Amino acid sequence: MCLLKKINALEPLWWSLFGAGGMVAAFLLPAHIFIQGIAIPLGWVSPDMFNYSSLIGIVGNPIVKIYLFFMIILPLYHAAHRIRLTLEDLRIEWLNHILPLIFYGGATGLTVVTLIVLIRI
Amino acid sequence: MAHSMNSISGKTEATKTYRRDIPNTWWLKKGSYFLFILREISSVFVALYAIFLLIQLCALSGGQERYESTAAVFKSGWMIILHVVIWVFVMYNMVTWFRISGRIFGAKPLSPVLVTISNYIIWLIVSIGIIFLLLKG
Repeated sequence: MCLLKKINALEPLWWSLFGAGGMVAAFLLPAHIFIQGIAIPLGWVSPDMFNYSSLIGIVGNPIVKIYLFFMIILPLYHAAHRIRLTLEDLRIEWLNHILPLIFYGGATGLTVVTLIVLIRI
Repeated sequence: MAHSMNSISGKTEATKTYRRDIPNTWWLKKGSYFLFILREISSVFVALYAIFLLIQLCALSGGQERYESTAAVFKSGWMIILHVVIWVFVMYNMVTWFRISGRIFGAKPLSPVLVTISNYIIWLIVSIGIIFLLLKG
């Protein structure tokens, strides 16, 4: 259970990532979801940018990659921390021991995936 | 299970901890409890959107054909409805976040209301900036 101890020792890091993710989720996500997930699919707006060849060019920009990286991973850590603490309140003892591993491990796994995907574009 | 020393016999004896029975519907009992659960659930939708972004980027890295078939899925009716639900929860997450920011950073000479209002002003400017970049960038 050495790994679990190490994860628990990193508690300040998980709290910081939770805070940073809260900022990203609050300031950046609403506008992105509204335009990309609702307005464009409904045909309210049809920006030139959202076709394959333009997107490949835009996402190829290192600054855009860094932006997308944090826009994906920080909200994941934010959610991971909050869901972990809520589930902990259910007081299922055997589950509580592995909750940090499941959620911080999951968010870290997806961080690695995000990194690989962004590097490959 | 707590253990207590029996002072007479000196033996350790198991005593039962009193646990008040909390029904699974406790969060329906009070408005503030319900809003608390809503805030916690909103983070699930925050994560869901981050995963959707990752899926779209994954498709983009897989070539034009794969990107276009994924984009078609994201244009379907049920996906749009799901995004409206996600957006409502993310907006709620934002409202609670700015309220908490006010409580945390609103010490004198500032006030919680002042911090919360300035958060909304910054949010508005950032959102207009993002929308402008997405539509005209």
